[in-house]
Amino acid sequence: MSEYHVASDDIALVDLLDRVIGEGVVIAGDIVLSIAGVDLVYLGLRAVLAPAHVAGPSALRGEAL
Amino acid sequence: MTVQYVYGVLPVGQHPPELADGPDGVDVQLVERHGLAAVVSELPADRYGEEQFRTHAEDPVWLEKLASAHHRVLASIARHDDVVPLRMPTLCRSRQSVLELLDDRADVLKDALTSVSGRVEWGVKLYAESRPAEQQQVEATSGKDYLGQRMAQGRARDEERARRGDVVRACHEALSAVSVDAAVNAPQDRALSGRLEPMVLNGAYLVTREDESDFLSVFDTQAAGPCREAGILAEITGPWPPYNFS
Repeated sequence: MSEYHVASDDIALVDLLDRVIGEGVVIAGDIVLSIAGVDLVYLGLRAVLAPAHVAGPSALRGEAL
Repeated sequence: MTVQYVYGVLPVGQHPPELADGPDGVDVQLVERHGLAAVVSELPADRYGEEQFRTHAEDPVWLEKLASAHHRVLASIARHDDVVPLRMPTLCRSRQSVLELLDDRADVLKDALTSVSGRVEWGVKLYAESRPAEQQQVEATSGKDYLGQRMAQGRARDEERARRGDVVRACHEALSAVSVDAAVNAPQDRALSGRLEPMVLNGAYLVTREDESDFLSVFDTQAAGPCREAGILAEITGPWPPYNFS
């Protein structure tokens, strides 16, 4: 059997943030409050995350699907 | 003061049986307009407002809490129904602004819903394991001999790399063939992935619900066959709400 795990077991923080902050429909303009550049700041956060999680993949006990 | 945090959008008439709670256990509600329903929580601005997101944009613990709540809510819908994820954070000032959002972006949101309808996302990551052959050292008997060995080792490494490249491409193509759409993301670096092996594919695949077992069996075949033989470790995550395809 191949090695695979499913998101419902544990989710690596980087996988989660890459999707939640890095993807999804962007609504811009006056309708939404401007959180200018949070996704850009996130690129910096990826670097911040690295040392904290170098010891092992961070896992969120998430109920995925 | 409160803000309206919008997680995503689904078609009106879909009423997810078990809608997960938002951050701190707050209620999640549906705000409907023109055949679309926004998935919304009313959050205190002093904890989750515009300013808070700016302040905490590089705070992994704070963001993890929000991101996992965001994902939990969307995943509770995507388990059974269609949903278009909005990027975190999408904040509106009032319910009225949420309705305006549905008005103004109706076309984009309906198109996005059509493209993800009946489909979920799977993630596949491939890592190149280091192979003992690459580190093999043979005792050289002369300088010329040594150079010859080094060149042969270099050639072997290049061939190995090319072979792995072919396997990675073939794996991605095989997975894409059972998917409706595919996205190749930048590989995560080793510190972020938590693995020593370099990531050689960070793929996302949009898969029709009925084709999920086919997708998984293609993954198994690739992972246990060509990938393993080429020293490539395969990892799959999912099913995810269709973050990469909205």
